[in-house]
Amino acid sequence: MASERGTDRPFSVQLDDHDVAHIRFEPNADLRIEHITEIMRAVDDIRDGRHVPVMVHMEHVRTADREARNAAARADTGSAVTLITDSPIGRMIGNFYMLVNKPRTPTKMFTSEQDAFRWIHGLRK
Amino acid sequence: MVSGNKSAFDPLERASQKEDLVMATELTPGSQSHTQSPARERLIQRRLEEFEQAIVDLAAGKLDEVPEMTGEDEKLDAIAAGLAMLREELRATTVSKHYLADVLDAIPDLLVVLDSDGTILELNRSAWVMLDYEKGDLIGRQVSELFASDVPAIGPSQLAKLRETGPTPNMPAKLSTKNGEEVPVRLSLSVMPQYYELERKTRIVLVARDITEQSRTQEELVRANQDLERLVSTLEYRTHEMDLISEMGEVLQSCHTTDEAFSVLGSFLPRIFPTHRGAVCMTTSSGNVLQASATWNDFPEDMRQRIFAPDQCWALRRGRVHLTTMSPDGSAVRCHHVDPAFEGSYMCIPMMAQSEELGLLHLRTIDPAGEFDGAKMRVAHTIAEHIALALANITLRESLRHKSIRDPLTGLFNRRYLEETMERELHRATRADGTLGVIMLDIDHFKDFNDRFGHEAGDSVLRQVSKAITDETRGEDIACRIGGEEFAVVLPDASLEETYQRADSLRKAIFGLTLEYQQQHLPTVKVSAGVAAAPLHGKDFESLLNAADRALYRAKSEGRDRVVKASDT
Repeated sequence: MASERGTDRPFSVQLDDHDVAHIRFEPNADLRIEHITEIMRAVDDIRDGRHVPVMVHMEHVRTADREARNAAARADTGSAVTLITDSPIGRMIGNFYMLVNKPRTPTKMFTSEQDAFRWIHGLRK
Repeated sequence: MVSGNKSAFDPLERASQKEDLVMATELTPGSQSHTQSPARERLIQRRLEEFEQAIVDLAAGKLDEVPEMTGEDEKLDAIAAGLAMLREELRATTVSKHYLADVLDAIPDLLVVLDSDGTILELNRSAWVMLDYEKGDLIGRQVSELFASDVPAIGPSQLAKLRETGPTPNMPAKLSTKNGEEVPVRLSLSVMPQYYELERKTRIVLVARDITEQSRTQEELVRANQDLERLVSTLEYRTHEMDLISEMGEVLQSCHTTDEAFSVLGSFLPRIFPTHRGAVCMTTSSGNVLQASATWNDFPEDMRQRIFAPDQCWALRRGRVHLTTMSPDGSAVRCHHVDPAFEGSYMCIPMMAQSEELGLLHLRTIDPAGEFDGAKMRVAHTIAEHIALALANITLRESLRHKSIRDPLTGLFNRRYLEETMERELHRATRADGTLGVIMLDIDHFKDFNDRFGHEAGDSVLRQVSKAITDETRGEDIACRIGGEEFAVVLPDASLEETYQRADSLRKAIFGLTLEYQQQHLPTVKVSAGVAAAPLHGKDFESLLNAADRALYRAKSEGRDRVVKASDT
C-alpha cells in the first residue's frame, strides 16, 4: 500500500507502489507559494531521501501564480516531473511553467497517466 | 538517464520541438465540433475581442486589466488564464527592469554599455552626471569622444583578448566633461557573456571610477610625506647640531688654556656652521681692542689680522646681537670692522661673562644670497654663551693656577712649583742620563737693608732682583722665590761647572743693578750662592737642594758675595 499524506490543504501527496509520488489537487485550486512549500515538504517526507519521479495531476488547478511557479521550478522535486492534464487551463499553466519558469528537473506534460508512466519507465532505464 | 544539465534538457529547446507542449486550445477527441450555436459564436466573438484588447493593452504596458475566467468555456478560460500569467510576467519583468535601472543608477561609478565598434548604447546616471551631459546627448556617440586622453582600444583583436582573459585590470585614463574639464579615472573593460548576446552582437561594458579625490589625497599624502621628510631631515640636522654643541661645550670645559680653547673652536665651529665662515674675536687684557683668536671656513686673512676697537662693532656698542642681511627685513647699518667689499649677511654676537665683555662671535654667510634663519640665530647665540662661559672659566682657572704657583710679589715661581718641577726634571735627567743644576741664592744682609730703608723698599729690591734673575735665565730655566730673600734657580741639562758659571753671572748682574725706590737710589745689593748638580750631588729633590743649601751656607760663612760649589758626595 502506498504511503499517503493528507491534510486540510487543497492537495494531497501519495507514493504509489512504483515509487512515484502523486500530487493531486482539489477542484478549483488556486496555487500560491505556500502551497508549493507544503507540497515539497510532503514529498520529502514520503520519499525518505530518495529521488523519486513526481506526477502532478493538474486537472483541478485553476490558477498558479508566478511565485508558486518559480518556487516549483527552483525546487529539487525529484528525478523527473510529469504534468498530467487534459484541461485547457491545466495545459496553459503547464506550458507557461515549462516555457517561462524553466524548471530544473526534467519535466514533460502528458494528457494521460499511462503516457507519463511510459516516459518515466524510459528514464529509469 | 536525464542528467538535468542545460545541454541535455533545455525547456526552450524541447518546447520548440513541440513534444512537450500541449496546446490549450487544441481540439481533443470528444470535444465540441466546429459547429457553433449562435450564442456560442457570440460568446466566442466577445471573448476574442476581450483577449485582443488585453493583448494590445499588455503590449502598451497597461498591466492592470486582463479578462477574467468566466467559467463559460474551459478553453476560453484557459486563454484568459494565460493572459493573466503573461501579465504577471510582464509586470515582474518591468519591475525587474526598473529595479535594475535603479541599481545601476545608484552605482557611483560610471557604467557604459558599448557596441563592438565603441558606440555608446546605454549608460547609468553616474555617467552623464559625471560628464555633465544629459543622458540622451551621449547615446549613439563614440566612446572615444568621452576621453581626454588614453582612449582604450576597442576592436576585434581587443575583443577577442577580452573574451579570453576576462575584464581588464584597472587602467588610468582621463575623461572629458562637456565643459572640457578632465576627470582622472581608473577604468576596466569587459565583454558581456555571450549567453546574453542580443541580436547576435557583442556588448562591452566599460566601468570607470572617478579618482579625483583619490588623486588629490595621494598628492596631499606625497606633499605631507615630503614635508615630513624635510621635517625629519631638519630634526636630524638639529639633533646633530645639538650633539656637536654639547660635545664642544664638554671639550671646552676640559681645556686648560685659552689657546687650547681656540683650537677646539677651530675644530667644532666649521661643523656647526658649515654654510658660514666666522671668527671668535677676543678683547685684549687692556679692553681697548679686539682681534680674531679663532677663525674657520676661509675667513679672510686680512680680516683675521685686523685689530679693531669695540665701538667699531654695533653689537658691542648696543650690547646685543647685530644682524645685517641682504633682505629688506635686515638692518642696513654695517659694523666698521666688517670689510666694505663683503657681500652677504652677517651677525655679531657679544660674548659676555659675569658682566664682563670678553669679545664677540662674528658669523657671515658664505653664499652672498644666504640668510640667517631663526634656528641658526638661536644656535649662534647658544654658541656665543658657551664660548664666553668656557673662556671665563679658563681665565679663572689660569688665574688661580697662576696664583697657586707664583710668588705674588715678584712673579717668580713659588716653592710649591719648585718642588713639582724639580721632581719632574730630575726624572727626566735620570731617564736621559743627563744633568740638572740647582742654584740657591740669597741676598746678603737683607734684614739690615729692610731695617734701614723699610719693607716697601725691600720689596722693591726683591722685585728688581727677581727681574734680573729672570733676565739672566733661559726660557727652560725655572726661577723661584722660595722665601724672604732666598731664591732658587733650576737649570735643566746644566753641569756643575755650567751651573757655577751661571750663578756667578747672576751674582755679578745683581751687583750691577741700579736700584731705585721712589726716585731714590738705593745701595747695591750682593748675593751669595751655592750650587749643586744631579746626579753628582743626589738624584732626588731633597738631596740636591740640601747640597746646594749647604754650599750657600759655606758661601755665607766664607764671606758672602760669592758662589760656592757643593762638596762631592
